[in-house]
Amino acid sequence: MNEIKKIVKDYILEEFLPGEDPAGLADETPLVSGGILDSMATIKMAAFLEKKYGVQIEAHEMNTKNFNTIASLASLVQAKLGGK
Amino acid sequence: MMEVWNLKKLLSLYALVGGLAIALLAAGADLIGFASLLGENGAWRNHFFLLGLVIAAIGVTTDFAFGERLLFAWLRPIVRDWQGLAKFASLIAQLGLLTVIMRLCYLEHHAFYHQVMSLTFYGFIIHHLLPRAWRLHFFILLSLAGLLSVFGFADSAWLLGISLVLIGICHAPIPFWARVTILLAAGGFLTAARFGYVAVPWTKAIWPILASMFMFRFIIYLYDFKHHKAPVGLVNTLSYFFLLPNVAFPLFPVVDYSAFRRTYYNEDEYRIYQTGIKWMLWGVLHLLLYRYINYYWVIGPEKVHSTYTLVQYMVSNYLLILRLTGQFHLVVGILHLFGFNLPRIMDVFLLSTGFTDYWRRVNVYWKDFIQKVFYYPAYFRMRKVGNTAKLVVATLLGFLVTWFFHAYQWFWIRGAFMLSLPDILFWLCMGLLVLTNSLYEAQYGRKRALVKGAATLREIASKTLRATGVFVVISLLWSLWISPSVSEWFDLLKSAEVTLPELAITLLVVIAGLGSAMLVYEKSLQPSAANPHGGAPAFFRFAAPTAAAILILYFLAQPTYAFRLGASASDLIADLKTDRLNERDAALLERGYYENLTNVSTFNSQLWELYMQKPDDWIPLEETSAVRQTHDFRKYELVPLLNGTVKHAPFITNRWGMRDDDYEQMPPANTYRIAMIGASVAQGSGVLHEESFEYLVEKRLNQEPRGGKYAKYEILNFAVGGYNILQQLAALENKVFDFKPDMLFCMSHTRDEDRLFKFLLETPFQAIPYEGVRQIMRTAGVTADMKTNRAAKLLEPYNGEIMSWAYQRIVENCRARGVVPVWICLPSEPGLKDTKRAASLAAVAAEAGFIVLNLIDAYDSAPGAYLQVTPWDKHPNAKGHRLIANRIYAALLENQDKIPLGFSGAAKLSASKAE
Repeated sequence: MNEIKKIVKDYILEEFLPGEDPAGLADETPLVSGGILDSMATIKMAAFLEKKYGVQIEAHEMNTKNFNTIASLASLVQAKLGGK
Repeated sequence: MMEVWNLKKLLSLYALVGGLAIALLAAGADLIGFASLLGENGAWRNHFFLLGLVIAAIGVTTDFAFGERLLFAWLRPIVRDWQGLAKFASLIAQLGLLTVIMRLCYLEHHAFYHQVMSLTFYGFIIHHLLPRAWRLHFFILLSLAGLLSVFGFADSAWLLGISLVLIGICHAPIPFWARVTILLAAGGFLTAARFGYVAVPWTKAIWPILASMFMFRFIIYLYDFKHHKAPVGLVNTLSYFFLLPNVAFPLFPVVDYSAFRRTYYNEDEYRIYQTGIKWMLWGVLHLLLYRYINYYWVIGPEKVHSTYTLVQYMVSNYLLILRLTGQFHLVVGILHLFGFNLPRIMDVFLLSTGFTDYWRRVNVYWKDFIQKVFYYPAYFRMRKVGNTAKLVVATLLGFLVTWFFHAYQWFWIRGAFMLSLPDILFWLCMGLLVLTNSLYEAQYGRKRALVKGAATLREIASKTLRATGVFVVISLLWSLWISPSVSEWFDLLKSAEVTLPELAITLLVVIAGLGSAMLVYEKSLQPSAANPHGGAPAFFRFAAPTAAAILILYFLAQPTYAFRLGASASDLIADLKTDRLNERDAALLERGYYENLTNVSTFNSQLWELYMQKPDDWIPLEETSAVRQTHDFRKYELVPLLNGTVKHAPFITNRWGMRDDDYEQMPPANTYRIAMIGASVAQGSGVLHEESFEYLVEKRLNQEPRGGKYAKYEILNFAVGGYNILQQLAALENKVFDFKPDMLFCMSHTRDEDRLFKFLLETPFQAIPYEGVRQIMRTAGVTADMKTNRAAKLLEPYNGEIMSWAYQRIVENCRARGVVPVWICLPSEPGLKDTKRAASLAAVAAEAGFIVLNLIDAYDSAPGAYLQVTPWDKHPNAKGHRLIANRIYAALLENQDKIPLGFSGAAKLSASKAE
């Protein structure tokens, strides 16, 4: 789980927040309501997770509950991996 | 033993709650339509109120006596939480003041500022004091009370019944596809009923609300239900569909079901409530700003002739969106007061720095709805397609659906499907702009930040320029959207003589305005010195700015304090507190211009709301059988000896075709005869003849002995609804003088010029019988074969000259026959007091030789809304006519030296009493 969180965090910092202080991005930092993940960034995030973990994210899973924090993203991936 | 204990416990609890419920229902009986159940005129209300209190007292006593002391257990933590009590008191004070402000300003309509806000205020207090587990149930009851208060029992029962059937189908124990099929069939039935193909027992009043409850929320609910995204259940579901403020707003935010459930008390409750109050304040401010723009700044396309007027037209009409944003903020704010911590619905969209940014900010709920139900499913369905192609298809689909849903929404609200080329082009252009911007962002990314640092001047300048670009493009597109046709939009653009220097100045003004706003906005995003980490500030610090703004607004709304700001500021505040149409809309309403118009421009207009309330048989006089064609310049006149109904009021005419008592053609001996010409107000549109000011003044002249030289006074009413001054002149010359009047009352109002102007544009040049008028039109450059838009621009500067010509001709006619010409000016409608225009018309009338009675203050003693026949018909009602009659009578007495009515000298003494 922590490994997933780290990978997700690194991706967000590299792709959407280049130059930002990594310490400022916590597991519970709001990503969607904080304006970091908009619709296109959410799609990019989903595509990254699908490719990285070989999971399939469904359209109805593209919501604030799943994508709002690094922790919730990691939980989504974990659940999908666990369900395989 | 256990059962007995439970019985005691339950009895005390139910006695307390039941007793309080009875007392509350009795106290609020008028508000929620229960008064008729409590005896004649609510005679038993006090008895029920006392009965409720007695039952509640029994509950308290038994609770105390039998030891469980639930009441104390419930109240103890509330009373002990001093901080909570202080916060609660602060919230009640703010909400109370806001409610008073909304009432003082007549914000939106009666159903909102009276019913919904009263229920919100009292409901909020009770709701907060209830245990958390009971609150959602209470919210549903409160929402149902709102329905009852607005629609009454029958329509509310139908609305509730239809809603329960639809929700029931959704939860039926059959496969999902079968449920959707049955729902579509139910939708088909309702569509047929909305079109009028199927007769239904409920009134048309409930359609807009029923539609706004289900047309979008049901799609979201089904989607979430299918994907198990949020818990369902009777209470959750009913609270989602029966949202208290919905009953007052047919255009309602598309609230997401999972967000609705997810955000329910997801934060400190006092902070949620305070956020709600803040959004409500924003709503009030938006609505007041909307009024300012609507009353003083908006112009119609006919007024566009230069760069400045073109920009004024585009920007002012675009900014009318403030009404919608105001309503949405009020709705979301009210929902916060009941624990629904929904996200902000709009986010300073005027400062959007790109088109995707604009789409994200302008209506967050709508964007989320489209994204969730259409954009993502379309995108993820195309897994084997390239990213760019997926983006293009999903984005364009989103805008196609948005266009369709606007038309769909329009159908449910108005009953007619909207299909217009400007509407299609508007959404197509918006879609392409957002798509282009999205592709750019996909390629080059978008700057994001974890912590908002202080923006440099360069960044602010860059953002301002981009925001200006978006603002200009959206304003331009908006002007297309509100145009009845594309050709009229091009005509509008062509009619403005745009010059580069004027354009540059205008652009600089826009940049300066948006730049200042951007500076303030960027500053507001910075963490404050008192709160350097940008976290949530303490409650009272958070509440202070909102509370201060509410307090200032409250004092400004009080005439005593507003008066101290000076006469012009005080007049402005008084006008902004008045709920009225702007001049242009009022003129359009009077002429029935929007009757058959399903154009999208009316989305922002108050007019379409009025038309929704208007019964189908409420038609203008000239379209009824009460008139007959004259085949001359007057076009029509009243049918003699008619005994019919117009606008639901008995309409009886005498043998001469006047809406008046019968008179001999020649005046009886010793009688002073006054002839009155005018239009609908003078004719008594919407009231009984016995309620009209003409009848009341005549009666008073005859009943109050003045000891003068005439035994009798007669006022002959030659007014005909819809007549302009030239038609009145024609009636005067063809008919009135045959009745040998001693005096003429020429009844005018402040929209007479507009009415004349539009009549001349619609009348063939050669059909105008007055060479003087034709000569002025020729001087203006108007020719017989000219297009209306062009003729309007040429003729407008000469409108006053034609009025002056008509007045002079009336006075000449009167003088030639020894008739005393008196010109009387009234406001064009109750609540609309155009003092400047009245003064300018009075000057023209005086110069023509009339004795002038400028009675523009006739309705001053009561709010306009209380003096109108109905909300959709702004003619004065019986009370309005009484005020006019009193004012005319007083003016006649005050001006006896100029107006020879033959009163004795003693009558002057009573002049002051006549008021």
